[in-house]
Amino acid sequence: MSSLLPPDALASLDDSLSLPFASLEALKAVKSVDVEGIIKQLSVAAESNRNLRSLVASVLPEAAWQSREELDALLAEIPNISAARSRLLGLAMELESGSIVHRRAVRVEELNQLRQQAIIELRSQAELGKQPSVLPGPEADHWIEWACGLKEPEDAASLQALRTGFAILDDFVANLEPGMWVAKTGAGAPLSNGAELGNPAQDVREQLRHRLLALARELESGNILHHRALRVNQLNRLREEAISELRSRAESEAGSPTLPGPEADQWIKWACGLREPEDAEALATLRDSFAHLDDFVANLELDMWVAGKSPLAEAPPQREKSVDKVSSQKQRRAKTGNSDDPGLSSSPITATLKAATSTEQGGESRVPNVPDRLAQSMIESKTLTPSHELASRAKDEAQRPASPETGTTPAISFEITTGVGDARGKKWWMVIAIAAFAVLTAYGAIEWSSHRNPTLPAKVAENDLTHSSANQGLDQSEMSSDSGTHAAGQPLLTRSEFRPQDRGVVRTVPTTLSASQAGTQGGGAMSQPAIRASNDVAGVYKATASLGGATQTPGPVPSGLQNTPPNNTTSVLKDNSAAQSTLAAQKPRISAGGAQGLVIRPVAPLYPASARQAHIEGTVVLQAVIGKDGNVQTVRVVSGHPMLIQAAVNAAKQWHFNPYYQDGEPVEADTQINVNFTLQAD
Amino acid sequence: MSTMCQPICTSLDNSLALLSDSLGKLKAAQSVDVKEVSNQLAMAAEAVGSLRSLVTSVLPEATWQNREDLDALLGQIDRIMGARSRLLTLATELQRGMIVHRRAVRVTQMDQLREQAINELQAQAKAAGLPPTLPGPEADRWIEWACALKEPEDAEALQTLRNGFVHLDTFVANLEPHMWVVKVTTPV
Repeated sequence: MSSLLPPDALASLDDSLSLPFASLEALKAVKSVDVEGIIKQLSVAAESNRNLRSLVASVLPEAAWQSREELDALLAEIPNISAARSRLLGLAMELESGSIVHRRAVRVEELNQLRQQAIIELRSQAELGKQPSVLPGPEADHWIEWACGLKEPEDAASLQALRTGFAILDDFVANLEPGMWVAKTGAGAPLSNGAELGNPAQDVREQLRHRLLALARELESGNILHHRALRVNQLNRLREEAISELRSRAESEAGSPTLPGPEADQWIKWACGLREPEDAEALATLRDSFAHLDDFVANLELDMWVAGKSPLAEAPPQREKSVDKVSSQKQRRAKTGNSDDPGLSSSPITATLKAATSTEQGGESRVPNVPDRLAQSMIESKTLTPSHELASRAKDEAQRPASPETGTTPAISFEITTGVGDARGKKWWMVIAIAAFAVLTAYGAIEWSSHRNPTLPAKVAENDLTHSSANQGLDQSEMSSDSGTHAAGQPLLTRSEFRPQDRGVVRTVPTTLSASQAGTQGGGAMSQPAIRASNDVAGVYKATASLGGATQTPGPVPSGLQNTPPNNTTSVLKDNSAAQSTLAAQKPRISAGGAQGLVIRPVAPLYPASARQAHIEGTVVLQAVIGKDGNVQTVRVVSGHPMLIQAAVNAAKQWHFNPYYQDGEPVEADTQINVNFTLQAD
Repeated sequence: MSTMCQPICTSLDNSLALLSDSLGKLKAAQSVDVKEVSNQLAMAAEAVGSLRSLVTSVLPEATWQNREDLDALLGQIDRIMGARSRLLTLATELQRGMIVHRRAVRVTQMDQLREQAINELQAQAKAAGLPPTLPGPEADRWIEWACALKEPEDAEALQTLRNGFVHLDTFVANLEPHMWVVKVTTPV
C-alpha cells in the first residue's frame, strides 16, 4: 500500500464497516439488529471513508474508481507513482544544480535552454494528477552520466523509453557530452524552485536578444556587390526583411529564438558556407525561426558581401580578425606589387560620415557638416587620427543636437573605399588646404558655366570626357562608360537638370538616397568598420564614407553599358581590365586613413526623378581617380543601374579631397566609390 | 412465499439492497450519504421487525438461522393462516344462518349444535400450529355441500370432517338442507 497513506486508513474503514455488513446479513435473515449501534458505526465508517478519499486525492487528484478492487489496485500503484515522481523531481533538481561548460557561449546557451526545458518537462511529468512516464536509468546523481553513455543500438530500449516519455530530456542528453556537465556547482546550492531558475533563463534570453541585434547591425552596416543592379536591389530588399525579422525576433515578448551559428561578425561567412545535407540541422533551425534571414543568406554569395561594421559597434577587434586583416593586406600587396609602399596600412580604416535628415528616420539627430568638421578637425590636429578616435569624435558629432528641419526626410549616404596606404602629406596640410581652395574655386567656376549652358546627355558625356582627359588622360573605357550609358537608351541626366530646384524637390520627397563605397572587393574580405559620423549636406542626405581595402577588382559593366555602339564600346570589358591594371600599376591607392583624412567635401547624389518614379534602387560602383589637386579627375562606371549611373557619377565628380602625396609630391590616386540608391517610405 | 408476508419481504429486500449498495460504496471509499444509509437501515430494520412479529404471532416458538429457514417458516405460516381463515369464515357463516323446523325442540337442539360447531371452529382457528384440514368448498357453499355428503360415497370427506371437527360433523349430520336458512342482512 502507498507509503503516503496511513497504514490504518484502510483498516479503519474496513473495521468500521464490519458491523454494518454483519448487520446487513442479519437483516437479510430477518434477525434482530442494533440499529443505533449500526448507525454509529456507519458514522465512523463515513469518516474513515472521507479520510481515505482525501489521502488518495492528495496523491492522485484525478483518480477515479468504481469498486473496492479498483481502489485496491490504485492504492497498490501509489507507491510506484510516488517513487517515479520522486525520481523525476530528484533529476530535475540535479539538472538545476549542475552547470554546462563549453568553449562556445552559443553552445552553452543552447544547452542551458534545453536543460531548462528538460527541467520543466520533468516537473510537468511529476505533477500531481498525472501518471508520470517511467524514467529509465539510475538515480538522479548518476543519471546524466548514465544517459550520456547510452549508445545505439545497444541501449535502444532505454533510449526509446527516454524518447517516448521525455522527449526534451532526451534531446538535452543527446546534445550533452559528459565533459560538458559539471554537477552541483554554485557552492553546492541547488536551485530548488523555478523562481531561482528565472535569472539564468532571463540571462539566456537577453544574450539571444543581443545576438540577434548584433547580427541586425552587422547586416545593416554591410554592402552588397553585384554586377547586376537588379540583383543588388533584390538582395537589399531581402537584407532589409532579414534585419526587420531579426529585430522583431529580438523584441519578441515570447523570447528570442536561438540563432544558430557564430557571432555576428562571422555569421554571414558562416551562413554562406552552410551546405545541405551536411548542415541540414543548422539550416532547418535557421529556416524555422528566421525565414527571411535564411532567404537572404540563401541568395547571398560570400563574395557579394562586403561587411562594414557600424563604427558605433563596441566589440573590440579579435585576434583572429587581425590575423585575417594582415593576411588580406599581404594579398593585396602582392596583387598591387606595391608591398614596399610605406603608405600601406596594417589596419585599413573605415570612416563613416553620416547625416540624418530627420529625427523620424532612425531617430538620429540632424548634425550639419560633420564630414567637413571632421576633416577640419583632422587638419587642425596635423596628425592622422586613429580610427577609433575618429569614430568617437564622429559619434560625438552625430549626437550633437541640431536645429530641426521640417518636411524633409530623404537622406543620402556615402561610403568610400580606397586602397591601402597611410596618409600622406600631413606635413603639407596647409598647402593642401590652400591648393584645395584654389582648385575648388576653379572647379566651381567650371561647374557654374556648365549649369549656365544646358546640354544634351551626349554633351554630358562629352563634358566628362573632356573633364577627365584634361586632368588625367582618360582612357577609352572611361569614356565608354558614360557614353555607353547614354547609348543604351537610358536617360542620362544633363548638368542642367541638377538645378537647386531639383534638390529642393528631392528634399521634400520621402525617400532615402544612399551612396556607399564598399570596403573591399575580390576575395570577399570583410571591411573594417571604424567611424560613423553624422552630417547634413544641403539638409537632405546622410553620407557615409567607408575607407579600406586595397585591391580593387572591377565589377562587370552593367548591361546598359555593354550595349553601347561598337565604335565606342567594342573593347569596354577588355579596356576595363586593361585600364584597371594600368591604374593599379601607375597610381597608388589611397590608404584608408589617408583617404579619410583627404575627404574635404562629400556631395550627395540626386536621386533621379525617373528612377524614383520607377522605384529603381541599387548600387553604382565607380572607379575614381583623385587628381593631384584633390578633385575627382575621372570617374569610371564599374557597375550600376543605368538610370542611377549618371547621378552617381555627377555626385562623385563633385567630391573633393586633399591631394595624395607620395615622396613629397602630390600624385594621382585611385579609389572606388559605391553609391547606393535606396528608396524608403516615410 | 406467503401472500401475507410478500409486501413486507419485498420492502425488506428493497431496503437491504440499497443498504448493501451503500455499504459497498463505503467499503470502496466512495462518496455516500450516511444519512440516507441510516434511513435505509431504519427501513430495513422496520421490515425485519414486522416479519419477526408476524412469525412470532403465528409460530411463537419458531426459530431460524438464515433466510432460507425463514422462508420455509413463512410458507408454513401462510398455510396456517389460510386454514384458520377458512375456519373462521365458516364459523361466521354458521352464525349468520337460521334453523327452521316444525318442532321448536328440534330448532333448539340444532341451535345448540350449531353453537358448539361455531365454538369448535373458532377454537381450532385460535389453536397454535396448523389447524385440522376442513374438507369441502368455501364457507358460503359449505353447509349445502356438507348436507349432501353420503356414505359410503363421501366416506373419506366424512371421516376427515369427523376427525377434525366432531361438533361440526354432528351439526351437519342432524341438519337437513331445507332446515338451514341463510339470514339476509337487511339494510337499515
